[in-house]
Amino acid sequence: MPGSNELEKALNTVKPANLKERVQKTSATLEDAIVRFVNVQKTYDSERLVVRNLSLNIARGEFLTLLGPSGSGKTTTLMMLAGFEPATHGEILLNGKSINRVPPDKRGIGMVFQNYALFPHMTVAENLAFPLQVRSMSKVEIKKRVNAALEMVELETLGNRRPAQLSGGQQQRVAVARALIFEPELVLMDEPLGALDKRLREQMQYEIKSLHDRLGVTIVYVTHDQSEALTMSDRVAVFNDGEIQQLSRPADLYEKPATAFVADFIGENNCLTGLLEDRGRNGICAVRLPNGQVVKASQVGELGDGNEIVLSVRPERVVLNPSRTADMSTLEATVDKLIYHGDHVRIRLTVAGQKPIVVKVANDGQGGAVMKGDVKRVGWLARDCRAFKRGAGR
Amino acid sequence: MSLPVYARPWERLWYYSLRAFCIIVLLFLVMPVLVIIPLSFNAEPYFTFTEGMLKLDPAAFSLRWYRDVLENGMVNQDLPVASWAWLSDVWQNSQWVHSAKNSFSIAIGATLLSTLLGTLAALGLSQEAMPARRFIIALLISPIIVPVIVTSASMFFLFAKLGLTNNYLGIVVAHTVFGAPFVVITVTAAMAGFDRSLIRAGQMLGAGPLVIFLKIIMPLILPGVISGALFAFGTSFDEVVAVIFLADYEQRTIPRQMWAGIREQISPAILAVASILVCFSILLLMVMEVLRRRAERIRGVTPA
Amino acid sequence: MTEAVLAADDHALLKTQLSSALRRQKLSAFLLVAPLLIFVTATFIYPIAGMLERSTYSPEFALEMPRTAAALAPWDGTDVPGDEVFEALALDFKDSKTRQATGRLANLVNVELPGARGLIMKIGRGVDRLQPPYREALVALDNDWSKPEIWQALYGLSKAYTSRFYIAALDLKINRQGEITTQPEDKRIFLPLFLRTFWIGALVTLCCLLFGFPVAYWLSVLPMRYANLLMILVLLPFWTSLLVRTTAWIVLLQNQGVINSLLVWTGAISDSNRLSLIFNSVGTIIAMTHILLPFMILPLYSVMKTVPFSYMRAARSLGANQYTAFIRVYLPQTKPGVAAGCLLVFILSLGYYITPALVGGESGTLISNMIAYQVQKSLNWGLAAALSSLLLVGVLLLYWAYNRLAKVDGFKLG
Repeated sequence: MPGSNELEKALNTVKPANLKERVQKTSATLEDAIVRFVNVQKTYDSERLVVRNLSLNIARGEFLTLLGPSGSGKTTTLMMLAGFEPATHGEILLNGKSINRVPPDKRGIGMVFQNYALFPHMTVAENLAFPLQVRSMSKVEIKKRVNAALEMVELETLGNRRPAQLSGGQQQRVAVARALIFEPELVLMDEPLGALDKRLREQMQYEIKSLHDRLGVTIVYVTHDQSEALTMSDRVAVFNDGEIQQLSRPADLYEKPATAFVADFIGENNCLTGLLEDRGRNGICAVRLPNGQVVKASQVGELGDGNEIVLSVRPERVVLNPSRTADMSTLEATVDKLIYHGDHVRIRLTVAGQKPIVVKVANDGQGGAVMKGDVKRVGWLARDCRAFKRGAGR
Repeated sequence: MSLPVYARPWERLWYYSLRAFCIIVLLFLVMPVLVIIPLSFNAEPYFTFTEGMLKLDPAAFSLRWYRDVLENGMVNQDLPVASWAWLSDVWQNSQWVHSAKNSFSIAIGATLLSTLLGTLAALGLSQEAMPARRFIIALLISPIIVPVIVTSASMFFLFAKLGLTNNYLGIVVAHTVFGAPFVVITVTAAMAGFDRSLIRAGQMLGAGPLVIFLKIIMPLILPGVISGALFAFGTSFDEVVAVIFLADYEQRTIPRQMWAGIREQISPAILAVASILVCFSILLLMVMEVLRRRAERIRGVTPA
Repeated sequence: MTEAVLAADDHALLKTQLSSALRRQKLSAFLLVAPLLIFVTATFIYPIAGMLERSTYSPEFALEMPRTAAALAPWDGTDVPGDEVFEALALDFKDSKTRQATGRLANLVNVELPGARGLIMKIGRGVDRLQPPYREALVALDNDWSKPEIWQALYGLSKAYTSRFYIAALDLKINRQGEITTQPEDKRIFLPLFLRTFWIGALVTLCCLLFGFPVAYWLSVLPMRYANLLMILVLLPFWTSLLVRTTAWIVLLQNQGVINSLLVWTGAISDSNRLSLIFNSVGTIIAMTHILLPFMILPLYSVMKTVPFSYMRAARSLGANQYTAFIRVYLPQTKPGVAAGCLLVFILSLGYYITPALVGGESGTLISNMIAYQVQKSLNWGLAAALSSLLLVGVLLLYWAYNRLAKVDGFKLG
């Protein structure tokens, strides 16, 4: 983005020395954590915990996404950090200091709201100037910063418009610029792209990400859209039922889900159930399916003999007509439906005693090789199939 | 909704007769209000259009009733019109000017009081934690619903005991009771359309409670406050029953003077006063319309 | 779901913290409402409560004439009471003369028994010469003292808590045997007036609905630009002073007024047969319909605005013709607006005073005018209070219904 040097310079103070190193970071140690949640609990009615015993360190400069279905506690967590909801128990630290008793306006955290919350009675420029005015900045300085911010989000000509006169994407950019203009070290984003259409959403994802890379500000981002979480974040915290199910890099989230919930929530997933037959060695276990067949899978967490097991395989890792090798498990299945997706074809197959299995096959232009009603062999490598204890991690 | 091409003849008939009927009703609404304006320029003491007026004969029109309105009650009837002495006599002694002064001062007092109390109450009522909200709203709005005669008679019984009859304060209090519900209604409506996340956004940007109230809440609900104030003003300016019960000649307002004029000896001077009041209501209506458009523009509703 | 993480005492502490936070919020919201609430209570609720009390509580006579009130208490209400009552009366009159309260007393009694003023004033003039035995002395002064009517009136007045105002307001009376009976048809005043008030209110409401519904519908389907413009035609009368509109109707409807002159001029009627359109119930109905019509159109319009046009389209695509689609699909969705508008207009029409007083003549006056008459002219405040209370109860019942149909939160204006 051209012409944003000035603001970048202005924000240089918060930019870490080595950008690459920051991006590579996968966990925050106590020293470099900008935000720490220590055993935080939250309940609204003193009966049900919305957030259970949350402990989380957020590294300076990282892009952390809180991902989860609605009601999982991710928004409550963000609201506690912003200061709109008090933590019922535990402590939240910003730069090593407890902020439990600091009101929102004294926390100095930027925030982009779900509906942008742009002040409708002020122009774009007045909206941007607002946080600077309440900080009693000089008029000259305010004007300079507002212009720089408008330039940063490429809205130079729209400073005198009212928010209602802007498109959704433009409003979104103003909201981002307003959250950044007073140079907070930490910016919170509460599903900021939810109101945009798909194409615009993807563009804004890219813009926010590139702003983050250039400014080096810490971003805590809440979404229920997994693809948004995977493409933008340094780390993702998957929430369910008030707990973090897994906190890791996006790739690990997809490749190595820690619980059955994460496996099911992130990406597409085929689920099979069975009983643990043999714990095996090197983390590869054997599971007996209800039809008596035994398949191999990577063991996740502690499994006990006779435990009910949930097996999870990604559709793209299921192979049609597999070669019979030692670590390939195979099943017989009947083709139920073929769904054309352009670049690939999905084949839905029924397996006795299980939910249907979906196989993703690249569209090689041949087609017609599979017909409805065919009985096919499907299979997968043991490392592509993960075995979870049923019920663990909800 | 325009008439589709496949409309059958009876549908066409229905379509056009509905429109004709609506136009007649709308005429029924405005005509009586507008017809008195030309009549107020009648040169004769009649309440109908004279031959001369229908022929647009200039001699059939005059300003005599307007002059009558101003001069009624003057000490010295012989002063030359529009001289300083005449003006000062009119200002000090004309009955209608006296009523107009009363009307304005009472309406302004009642408007200030009801806007202040009503806005505060509406701010409280739009908070989530407000206990017994529905009951309290119903209670605060009931002065509009309870027949004015019942309210006025009740106030008369009480105020007579307290010595508040024939007293400006008593009328201002009564008119505040009638006006405050309108402020509560309009400001509550403005608050209902108020996006609470704006308050949170203000807090995140570093603004304290006072700045948030003055810079964010107030500008956004201001149209509601002003239109409530206009309703309160209009209510007080138009109110006559409470004035009949609580006021003496000294506190006579314009509607009270009209009431007396119509009952005792109706003269076209009443029409002149009525015409002035119609112009005044057109002014009020225009202010309301400007406010409504402003509020819509701010809220991002596309203007018509 | 039980939470093992939360210890029991933690739990209790948390509960108190949460409830105290909620209490604080409630208090701060309530404090904002408090000034208006106190104001309305003191200047609106309290006077009305006082009015309700006045309709059943009337201690004036008992305070002025304590002996008579006490002596009359055991009386059975038939015939003429015993000598002790005459004596008490005479002594009370002597006292009241010294307090110069005879005139007030005469008014009080006159309200209860019309024409009794002279009787009381006569005693007032002759009280100094009264000598025992008082029965004979009083009867000598005026023979009416030997008749039961005046005593029944005084008996009624002597009780501080009384139902006599309501008995009068409902056109009932207490007969010689002390039973409550209805007034003869020709002496009923208030019930017919209540009936007329309701009847005219219903007619006005019906007229407003008939005129208002098509207009509201038309405005709701017109493009915003035209609708806003035409809406001004509805709002202008709404914002115009009530007295101006009433004056306008007097000018239009009177014998020598615009409408009659127009009809004579066009030859529709002859000069000697001018229509009497005003100073009767016709005038009241026309003027009140005009004044209340905006109160019907505005709520109807705001409801109709929210009915999506796609429902009508859906109905047409499902095979209904215009008429069926309107009756079966559109109309039911406007019900809340119709109910709210009708109730609002009806409630407001029940309390109308100014318009009927100015254009109603004899046959067009309503109960409000009677209340004003009782307060200002007849000075029977107790009866006025009883009539007001009855009107108030009716209106409050309708208001309650209105609240249930159209949430007060959604009460729309302009």
